[in-house]
Formats: sequence, structure tokens, C-alpha cells
Amino acid sequence: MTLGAIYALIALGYTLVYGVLRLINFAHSEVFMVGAFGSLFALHAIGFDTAHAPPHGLVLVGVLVLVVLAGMIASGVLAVVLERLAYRPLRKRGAPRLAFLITAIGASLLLQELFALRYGRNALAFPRLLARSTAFKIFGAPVQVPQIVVVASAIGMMLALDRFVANTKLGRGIRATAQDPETAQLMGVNINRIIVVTFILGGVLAGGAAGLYGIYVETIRYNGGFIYGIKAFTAAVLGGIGNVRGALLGGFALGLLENYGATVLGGEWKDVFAFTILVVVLMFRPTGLLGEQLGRSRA
Amino acid sequence: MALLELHDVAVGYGPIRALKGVSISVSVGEIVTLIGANGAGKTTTLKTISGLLNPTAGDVRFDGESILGVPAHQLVKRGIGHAPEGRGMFPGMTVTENLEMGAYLHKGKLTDEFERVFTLFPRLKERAKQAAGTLSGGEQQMVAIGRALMSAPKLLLLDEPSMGLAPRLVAQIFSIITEINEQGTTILLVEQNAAQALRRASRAYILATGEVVREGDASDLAEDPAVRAAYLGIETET
Amino acid sequence: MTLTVSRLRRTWGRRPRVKLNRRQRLIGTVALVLAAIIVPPFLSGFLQSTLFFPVGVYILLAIGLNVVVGAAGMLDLGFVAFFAVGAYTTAVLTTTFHMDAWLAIPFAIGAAMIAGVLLGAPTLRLRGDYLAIVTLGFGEIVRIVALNTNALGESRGITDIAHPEPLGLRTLPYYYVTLVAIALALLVSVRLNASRVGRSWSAIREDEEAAEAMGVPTFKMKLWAFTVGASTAGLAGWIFASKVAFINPDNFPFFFSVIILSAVVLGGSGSLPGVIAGGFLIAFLPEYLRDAAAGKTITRVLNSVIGSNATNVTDFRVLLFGLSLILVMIFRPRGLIPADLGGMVTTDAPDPDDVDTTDPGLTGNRSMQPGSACLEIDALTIDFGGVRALDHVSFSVLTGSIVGVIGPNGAGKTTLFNAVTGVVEPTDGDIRLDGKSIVGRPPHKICQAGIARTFQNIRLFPDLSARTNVAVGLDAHHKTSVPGALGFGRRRRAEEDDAKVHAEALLAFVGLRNRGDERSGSMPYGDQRRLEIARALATDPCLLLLDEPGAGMNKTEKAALIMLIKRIRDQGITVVLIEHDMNLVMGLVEEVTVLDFGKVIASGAPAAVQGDQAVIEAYLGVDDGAA
Repeated sequence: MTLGAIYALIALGYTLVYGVLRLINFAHSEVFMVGAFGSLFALHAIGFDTAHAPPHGLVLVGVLVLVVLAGMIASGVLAVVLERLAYRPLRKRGAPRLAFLITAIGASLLLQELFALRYGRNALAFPRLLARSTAFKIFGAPVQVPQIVVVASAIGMMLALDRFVANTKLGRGIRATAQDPETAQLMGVNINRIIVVTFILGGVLAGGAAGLYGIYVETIRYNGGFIYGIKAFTAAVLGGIGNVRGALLGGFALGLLENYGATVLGGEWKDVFAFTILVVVLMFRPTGLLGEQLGRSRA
Repeated sequence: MALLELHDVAVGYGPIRALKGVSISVSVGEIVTLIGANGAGKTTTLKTISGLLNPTAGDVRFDGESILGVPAHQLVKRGIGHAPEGRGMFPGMTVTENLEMGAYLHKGKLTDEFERVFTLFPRLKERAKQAAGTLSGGEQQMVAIGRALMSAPKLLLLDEPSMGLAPRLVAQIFSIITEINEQGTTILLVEQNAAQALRRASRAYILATGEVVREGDASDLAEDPAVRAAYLGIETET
Repeated sequence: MTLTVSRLRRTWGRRPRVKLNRRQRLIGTVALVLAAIIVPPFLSGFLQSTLFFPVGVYILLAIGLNVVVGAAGMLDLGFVAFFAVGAYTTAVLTTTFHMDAWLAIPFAIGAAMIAGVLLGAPTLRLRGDYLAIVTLGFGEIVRIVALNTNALGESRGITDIAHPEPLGLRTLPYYYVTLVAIALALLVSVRLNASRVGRSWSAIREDEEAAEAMGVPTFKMKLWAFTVGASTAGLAGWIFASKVAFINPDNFPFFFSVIILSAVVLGGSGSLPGVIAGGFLIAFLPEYLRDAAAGKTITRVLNSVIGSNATNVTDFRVLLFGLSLILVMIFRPRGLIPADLGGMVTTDAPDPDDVDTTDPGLTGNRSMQPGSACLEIDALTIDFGGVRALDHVSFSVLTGSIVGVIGPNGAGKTTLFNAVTGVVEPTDGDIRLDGKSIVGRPPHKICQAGIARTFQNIRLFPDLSARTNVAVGLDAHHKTSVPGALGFGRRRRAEEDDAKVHAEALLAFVGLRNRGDERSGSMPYGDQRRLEIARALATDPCLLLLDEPGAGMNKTEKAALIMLIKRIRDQGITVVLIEHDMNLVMGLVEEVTVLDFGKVIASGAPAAVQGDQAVIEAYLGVDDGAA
């Protein structure tokens, strides 16, 4: 469930970009990874390292907010840079779809290696911010404080996105562009700006996910985005890529499925279980659980 | 005074030349219609005017200035409204949201604009909260026209507003087009329903394979035997 | 930034200016092959082993993946899975079952092919991006299964895999084995591409729906593409496992699939020289830079830029790899050596003496009697999510007649064609061809049964030549599949000759004689329309459906079109056309059916229908001046 929330947040980035551009932003996993590094560096900047005692009270709240914000900023900036330097030149040229994918893969590798070379290939530890104490039990399963914080914040962010896309002018612009880019232009929508906004939104959500991930998992590696990216992408497809509600449903469903698979078959099989479910779902619903329209769902 | 002028405009899709030097002009307050068969270049002409396509040659002037290279989203601000072919609904948005999209660049309340559209199309007021994708064809066409009016354009481009509509609705749509014009909006109307279009317009251009083959007063063209045979589907020499 | 990019593109982004002629290319190829055979024994041990792995193996895999991505246009992000299956099959057979290494080859290939079918059969109906994620998942599943299965050695892997005797431990023999495998894989690609199979793949890549409508069994052909690609990877897996003698799951990461895909796309998807060059560059450059002086400089520069302290350029290989992927895609989005027209598929011009331009070779209505019902539409109803597109439409078309379907835009005319050709499933009602119901059959079967069509917005295979477009249509009645195309049997040759000669006769029939080598997507509009008719005729239909054939044509072209349609009917083919131009309809058809809002509102002789009040209101526009 906790991982499901993180998957869902990252999945939203895939879905938003796909909805508007019909592009799988393969480098989105690195957007997430960079967000986690951003969070970690923010902690270092205010003097929190692994030796530091966990903060309390208002300081704790402040630090948590800072961690998440730093992740959002790092990821958001990176997402925009990616769009500008890697994708826009291709778009202007009307390059084949495969070229976008390969560019995205290239960007993904480039970013991973930049961080590997700069900060080493070993995992960097986050200082512990939240004690792993059990808050309460559901059906005998212990629920820990960090889990509550992660799930609650993730749901908060999703609701914020939901409101943004549904109720603001930019949100309408995004939905209009996703549904019919040509007509959207006729309404005065600047498509290029909408695309940038979409990348920012996706990046910010991935950054938020990265901050929560840091708080919860407490470690990050240069290739740490990869597996989460794959999972989130799976979640997006499972729910129906391009569909905001689908990403939420897919994320939580995938989190639960993995958990279930791990319990039944053993932890090492959980990925196999998740991918098999994906194939089965796609066989019967070729565009995912909720279909693939960004605009149609009013999420 | 000419509100819109096209001088020798040529447009190509790859190797296909869709327009081969089209010149037309539309004066303030007119209804001008462009008629012609499918593939003649009517829609291409409208898309070129609204900035969705870039001409390979020629000039497009609006309100006295060349608008070549101005992106579509900025032309809305200058006063060009376009109700595209196939209605261009945002199917997942409600009628209200679709109309709001029409005034995307407008800041502040839209009370007057909504008032105007709902007066022209009372039906849309009843359907305000319904998703546009679930509307009937006629209602969608009303949304498309109403949406283009939300930006209070000087020039309204209408691309086949009668397409797929029942005869009764066609008549209704055309009388609303006349009404919009009487309220002061200049209109460039693309139609396959040549009979109706010629009756509503003051002047007309006939396009065939990317070229203007006839132009003149709408009433003259409507009486012209060759035009009647070719575009009104009557008095064929079989 | 953007400005510089566009300027640089203008200089670099073009196709190579040096265009080699056939002879120069042949000499170059021979020289390269000879070099590949003669030079390696004189190289250092390090270079020898680099040439075997990664260079040779990458090239082999890239050729295999190119069948899937380049030829058939499907995105596969888990290709390494088939490589792994081949390698593990070899490993298990030669260790647990003590099988002779050579004997393991067919098993390795076979297992990979089975894996290809297992993955393909349930998933090939998925569209591009979904297929990509499913293949990616499959790649991971294979790796994780290997990682967690005791019989496969879990993370320890499998050691002591038998070397094939007498190859032994040295690298060089494996290099030559790889070279032979590459030659075989190339031969397979070339043979398949020069046959119905390759044409089908190209057609699927260009426009899957149109391909299906022209009688291409798309699902079967896509499955073959997967299987052929997988077999190459299986062979590569055998070579790899039998040389290194030790494999574990870490040999087969997702990254490996990405590298092979990059080799294909970087080199030029669909272009065999490109794919080979791509595989070579991606494998060789990082190894080469490891020790070269240039490598040292790069290391120094990058260290200072990034703030890292790498000792060797190989530390940067993935970084440089990523960077070069981006740059190549921006400057040459179609790859370093882009595919020629139609990728690898071309159809040569026939000997003009073989072509009988007076006989398009059409069987027409076969056994049907003139005056019998060729097509019967019976209470056909189609709903699209609550909208009734067709509502109890009934009419029949007599064998040998020309019938028009008219009606306002949105009346359901194209939906009617889509239903008849099997693209949309009727909600209710029946469609019969020569008395037999065709409802529920897939489009390619309906095409083979004798119904061909053209599309409202021309759907040729734009990157294929005009002749190849027609040949795809002819293939509807050809039988050669992958085994036949690989062999040298008589049927294949006869079908290829038929494709060439018959295609030219059909081009001549529609007035496109000697235009067969043009890129169809670059032809003028009117010619494209006629080519589309030729392609439809090539499927040898008894019933031809034309969707607005006159759209965009001028008067002269329309007059020629009327003649053409009459000549088609004279070949014994029944014609149904959707048309807006009343002159065209009235001058041509014997019977008209008028649709409005999905219902038939009138049908009968053109003159009678024209006078019908309902028709005038619905279609011609209510106008007292006009009535």
C-alpha cells in the first residue's frame, strides 16, 4: 500500500506526459531518482546526516516538508530540462516515435551515470526522520508511522493534482490538449506551454514521491529510479495510460498485488506476479483497466 | 474594408499540393462562403487562415497586417474564431467547460459571453453540465459555434456546420449563422450544402483541386447553370 | 540552442552524399567480408575476444531484433529474454543432461522460438506502447525465473557448460562460428524480405489496418516476426553460453535489451547495413576507447566537468552511450545508415516482355451468375457506445452491377463499408457474400473471400513503392509463409514472378505503367487514388468497394475514373461506391442507395432517387430554388 502510493505518484507523471504527447517518457524514472538526491542534499544542507538524532515536533514537520519540497523542485526542474533539450528538438522535426523512445533511454542512462560518477555507485543513506513505531493495527497487521505519513501525503498530492487538472484554467488546457491538440490551439492554447506545464507537474509529483521514498525507504542509489520507474509505468499501463484516475488505481492495485504475490509465492516472485497480472489484464482490456483518455475521466 | 485577404496562397502536405495559389478576400460584416467538392482545399484554406498550417507561398493578411507565421493560439487573441470541421469537441469536458475553453485567453468573468451563447442556443443551457461527447450532432455543432464565439471574434471561420445534421437542424443552424452575422461578426463559411450556403452568403468562391475556379455574388453563382449542375446536384446532363 | 541544433542538422542530418553504385557496394561488401575472415587471427587476444563478444554477438542479436522492430515495426523491450532462453537451454542440456554441445543448437533455437510464441500469442494484439511494456515485463520475468529456480542455479548461475568440440577454450573459433551465424541470420532476413513474408511485415509496419484489409494475416505474420527474431537470439544464446561456459542472471539485464534496441535504431531500423554498423559501433567503441589515447583525454575532460575521479574511459561508457543516443536521434532520427525506400523490401520491375498490359488477370465474379445477389445486407445494425450508426440497413447488390451509396457526411456510409469488410462487428443483422454469411470473419479472410476496398483518406503503404503496394494485394492469394520463403522451392519463385509481372499489368490497367518504382506516398493525389484501386484489384475481388474514389480529382481525372470503374466492371467485378459528386454517381451507377442517419431512405434507379422528396431534403439541401 505504501509503495503503491509511491508508484501511483510516479505513474501520474507517465500518464500526464503520455496523455498530452502520446510519448512514453522513459527518463521519468531518473526524474524520480534525481528528486530523491535533491531531498537528500537538502537534508545535508541543513546539517542533517545519518548521525543526527531524529527531530521532533514542529522541527520534524518542517524537515519533512523541506524534504518533499526539495525533491519536487529537483525533479520539476529536471523534467523541464529534459523536455527542452531532448524532446523538443525531436518534436519540431516530426521524428518517428521510436526516436523519442531511444532519446528517452539515452537521457535515462546519461542521468544515471552522471550521478553514479559524481556520487558513487553505492547507496547513500538518508538520516532517519520518523521512528518506525507502530501506530495501530489493521486486522493484526502493524501500520507504522512512516507508512501513514507517506500514504497520507501521497493522497494529498493526488487530490491537489486532481483539483488542478479539473478546476484551473491550465488544467483545462491540459485536458483540451490531450483530447484534441489542434482544436485546443484554435481556442488560444499555447501547446508548447502546456507541454512544459505537463512535464513540470509530472516532475513535481515524481519529486514528491521521491521525498516520501527517502523518508520511508531511507536510501537512494544512482539506479534507484529504474525499478520504481518500471513499476510505476506498469501501474500506469495497468490502469490505462493517459488516464489520471487509472494511474491512481493502477498504482495502488500494483502495490497490493505485489504484496499479495510476495505473501503467496515468496518475495522473490512478486515482480513476476505483477507482470503476469499486467499481461492478463491487457489481454482482456487492451487499454488498461480504465481505458486511456486523460480528459474523459474528470480526475 | 477587407478584414481578411489571401494572396496567392499555396499550401502543401509533403509532395501533395493542397492549395495552388488561392486568393480570396472577406470584407467587414460580410458572410462569404467557400464551396467545392471534398478534397478541393476548403478545410486547408481555413486551417491556413487560423495558423494551423503554414503556406509555402503567398500572404495572409488579417486586419491590415500579415499574419504569416503567427501561431494559431495567438491568432485567437487577434480576433479569429474557428469552429473546425468535425466540430472538434473536447468530448470529456462538459458543455460549460467547452465554452470556457473558447474564452481561454479571456481574463475575468465570462457572464456576457455565456449570456450571448445561451441566447443563441438555449438548448446548450439545458445541457450545460453534460459531457460534450454524449451530445447529439446538432448540439455538438452548437457547442462548436458557441465556443468559437466565446472569444468575441471579429472573423468567424465555420467549417461545414451542416455536416451530418438533419434538414430541420441545418435550416436552424443557418439562420443562427445569419443572426450572428447581423450582430456584427464577419463570417467565412465552408460548406458542402451549397444551396443553403449560397442563399445565406453575400459572396462566394468555388474551389476545385486547390484553386479558385469561380467567384462572385452568391446570388449570381446560385443561378449559374454550370454551378447548379456541379455543386447543387441538380439538372445533370445524363 | 535550438538554432544551433537546426543549423547543425542541416549539415549532418542529410542522407550521406556519397551514393555508392551497385558495383562499388558489392566491392565494399566483399572487402569487408574478406577482412572479417582474414584479419582476426593477426589481432591481439584482446581484440579477438572483443570481436567475438560483444561485437559479434551484438550484431547477431541486432539482426534478429531488426526483424521484429525494423521489418514488422513492433517495439520489443525484452529481446534479451530470448537470448537468455537460448543460453540457459544450452547450459542445462549440456550440464544436467550431458548433451553434446553441437546437438544443443536446435534445442536452444527451438526453446527461444517457443518462448517467442508464448510471449507473442497472448500479447500481439496489443498496440505499440502496451506491447513494449509487456515485452519488458517478459524480459524481467525470464531473468527473475532464472534467478529463483534451483535447477537454473539461482543467482549462482550455471557453470561448466560444455564447449563444443573441437572448439575448446580459445576465442577465435567462436568468432568464426558467430560469423557464420551472422551470415545465416542475414540470409534469413534477405530471403524473407524478398518474399510475401517481408512484404507483409512492411505492410503491417506501414499501416496494420490497411494491411489486414488487403488480405495480410497480420496476427500470424507478427507472430512469425517474433519467432524468427527469437530464433536468432536463441542461436546467439547458444554461442555465448558454449563459449563462456558460465552464465548467471546478471548476464541478461534489461539494459542488455536496451543496448540491442539502440544498436538497431542507431544504425537505422530496417536497414541491414545500418543494423550491422549500429551493433558494431555500440559494442566496439567503448572497448576501443578503453586504452586509446583519445580515451585518456576524454577521461580527463569528463572528470573535470562532472567532478568525478574515474581512472578509465570505460567508467564513462554508459554515460557517453546515453549522450550519443540522444545526439544521434536528434541529428539523424532515422539512424546512421537509414533504410532505403520501403526498408528492405522492394519489388523489382519485371521484364517488359513478360507483361501483358491488356490483361490485368482478374477472375471477377467467379461462379456467380449475373443478376444473382452478390452482396446482401440484411437488417444491419451497428451501435457505437449508445450511438446508432446503422439502423436496420437492408439492400442487395446484383452481380455485375455498379451501385452507389450516397448520403450526407456522417450518415453511416463508411461504417457500412467497415462492417462489410469486417473492421467493425455488427450489433445485429447479417451480411452475405454470394449467399454465405461473412459476419464475424476477420478482415483478411473477407478480403480473401473476394471483397476488396479503398479508403476514404487514401491508405497506401506510403514508404513502399507503387509496385510493392500492388504486390501486397496480390499476396492475398499467395501461400508462401516463413518456411517456404526460406527454402528454394518452386512455389516461392512462381509467386515472386507473379508478384512482379502481375503487379505491372495491374499498374498498366489503372494507367500507372512504368511508375512502379515510385514511392507511393510521394505520388500525386489522383495517382495515389488509382494506385489504391490497383492494390485492391490485386486481391482479385469479386466485389470492389470504393470509398469516395473521386475526392480531390479534377474534371478530367474524374472522367478517366468513370472509364476506369466501367472497365473494372467489364472484368466481371461488381462495384459499390460511396461518392459525393452527383455527376459521377449519376453517370455511372445503375442503382443508388441513400443513407441518412444510418437508415436507408431511398433506393432505386438514379433518376428516380434524384426526384425523391426525402432525398432532396436530406442530401441535396432543402432549397426551394433548387427543388
